[in-house]
Amino acid sequence: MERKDILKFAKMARIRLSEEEIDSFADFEKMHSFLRQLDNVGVTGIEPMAHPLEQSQRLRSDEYDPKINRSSIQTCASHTKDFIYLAPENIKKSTD
Amino acid sequence: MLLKTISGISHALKKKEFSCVELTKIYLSRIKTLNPALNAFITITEETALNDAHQADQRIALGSATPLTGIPIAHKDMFCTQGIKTSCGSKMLDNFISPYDATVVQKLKEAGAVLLGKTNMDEFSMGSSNEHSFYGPVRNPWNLEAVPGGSSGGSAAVVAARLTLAATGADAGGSIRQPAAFTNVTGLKPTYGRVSRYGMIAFASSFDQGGTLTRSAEDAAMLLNVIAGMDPKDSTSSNQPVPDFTQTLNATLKKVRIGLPKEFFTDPLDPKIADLVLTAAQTLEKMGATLHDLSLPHTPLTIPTYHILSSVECASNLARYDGIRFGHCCEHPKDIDDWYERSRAEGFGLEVKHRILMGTYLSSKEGYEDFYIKAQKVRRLIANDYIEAFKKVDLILSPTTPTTAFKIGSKPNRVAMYLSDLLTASANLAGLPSLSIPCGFLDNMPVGLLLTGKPFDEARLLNVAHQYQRNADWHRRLPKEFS
Repeated sequence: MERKDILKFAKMARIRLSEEEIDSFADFEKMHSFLRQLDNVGVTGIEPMAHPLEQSQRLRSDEYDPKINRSSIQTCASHTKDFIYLAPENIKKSTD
Repeated sequence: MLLKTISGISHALKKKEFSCVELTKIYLSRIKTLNPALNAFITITEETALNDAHQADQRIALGSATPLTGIPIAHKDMFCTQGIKTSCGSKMLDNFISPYDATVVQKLKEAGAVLLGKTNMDEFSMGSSNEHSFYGPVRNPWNLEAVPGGSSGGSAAVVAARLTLAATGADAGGSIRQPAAFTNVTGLKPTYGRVSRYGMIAFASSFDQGGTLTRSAEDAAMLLNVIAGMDPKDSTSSNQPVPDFTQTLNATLKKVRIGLPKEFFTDPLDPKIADLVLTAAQTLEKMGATLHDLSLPHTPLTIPTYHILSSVECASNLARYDGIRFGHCCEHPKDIDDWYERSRAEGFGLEVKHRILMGTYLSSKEGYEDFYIKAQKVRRLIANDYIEAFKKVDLILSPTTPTTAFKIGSKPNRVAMYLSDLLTASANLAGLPSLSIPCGFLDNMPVGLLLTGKPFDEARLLNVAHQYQRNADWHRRLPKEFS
């Protein structure tokens, strides 16, 4: 995997990498070829398995749980105001 | 007192040989003296522990105690604990005080257990050595230069060093059983879905399962009795009935069929470990079990399959750490992208970044079909091997790890580290219950024996392990410096 690929996937994952960290991906190729061991396995007619016991997940009713309230949850956030999470502006105003 | 198990301590508390507060003070004192050498606790909850112990004494006096009332425990620091830091071994959550309890935490609290603290771990459960923690590596009580295994290395170390009676852990690819083997304790990974994952910080959601690290199989049965069961808050928890796991501990081993898969006894396994494990198998045979050779032919594909699937699930799960709602937040962000990218760059350690990027690649258009879907298909082949095997045997016996605990910093690269889970991860791919128990020593370092069972057949594993432990004393041995 080339440097530009590493930077592309880092951007997709929203992680900024230092030069030293980019260099640490030198063993990515070794890992990649390790994972390539599956290439020669015959899987024709085999269904993918997403759940280890093939069970479907239950649904529950969409009910308000008073035990978990907004103010206690928001104590974990770095920036809040009037029960709203604060973050830099994301959608720019049109300059037309 | 350090040699007693949960049932012994529980009995002594009820007979008022000592109080819960006295017992808790002994453990807190040991933690203060001995933990600095191990670095096994991230948070010591002294005040909580003494309050819990005081309440437990009152409960015993009122006659409303459970078998776990007053029993000192520790939680792996990935179980959310209300009002107490839950870091998951990461700078990302170094400032995170959970607003709620994990179901496992709540159940043990309701049973009257005493919380001594939160244990160190590989960051977000990604690791097999506990070297990947923001809080520094944990050391193995049997040799302070060696790793205790991971990712539940802190929990294993504190049980082995007798800094607690029991601890919780979680296991996605071997994270309870491999450290249990490295430190001479009993480590139980229940069937996927047996124990609620609510409030257990996710790494790989189709693999993660909460479990226990204890001094004996009997202790594991007592803890599983409390933490098992369907939880409306976890849609992946199973509604299978939960038996009393202590009731069948003494069942006879006559006619129990034990399979020995040939693929688990080959290179890179240390032949001396194979000898110790086979000696233990012969002990079970003398007790009435029958031994059968069998094959799990897709075993060599376990680690690549596990790492493809778990990396993709990890990249998805860890996308939630945006620095906005909780977790580390960078200073003075220029814009929202800068906020995300720097918060995550500063909050995550290198191993976590590697796995997130690997998972991002493997689930992108470049890797999705060739790797992710292919690995899901191979997962089925591995699971099918077990289904076939369990038509012939009741449980499967093997070594837990290919080697004993290795030296800190000795693994030359990631692939070498990942192979530490070679013998444990297939049980996670197939969602099976699996238990590691001590079965001997090699060059003064512990060796583990792995028992893997049919789905929801933890009772059988605990029965066989308990019977073995009645005939062997490996699990009672203590590391010299912590006796």
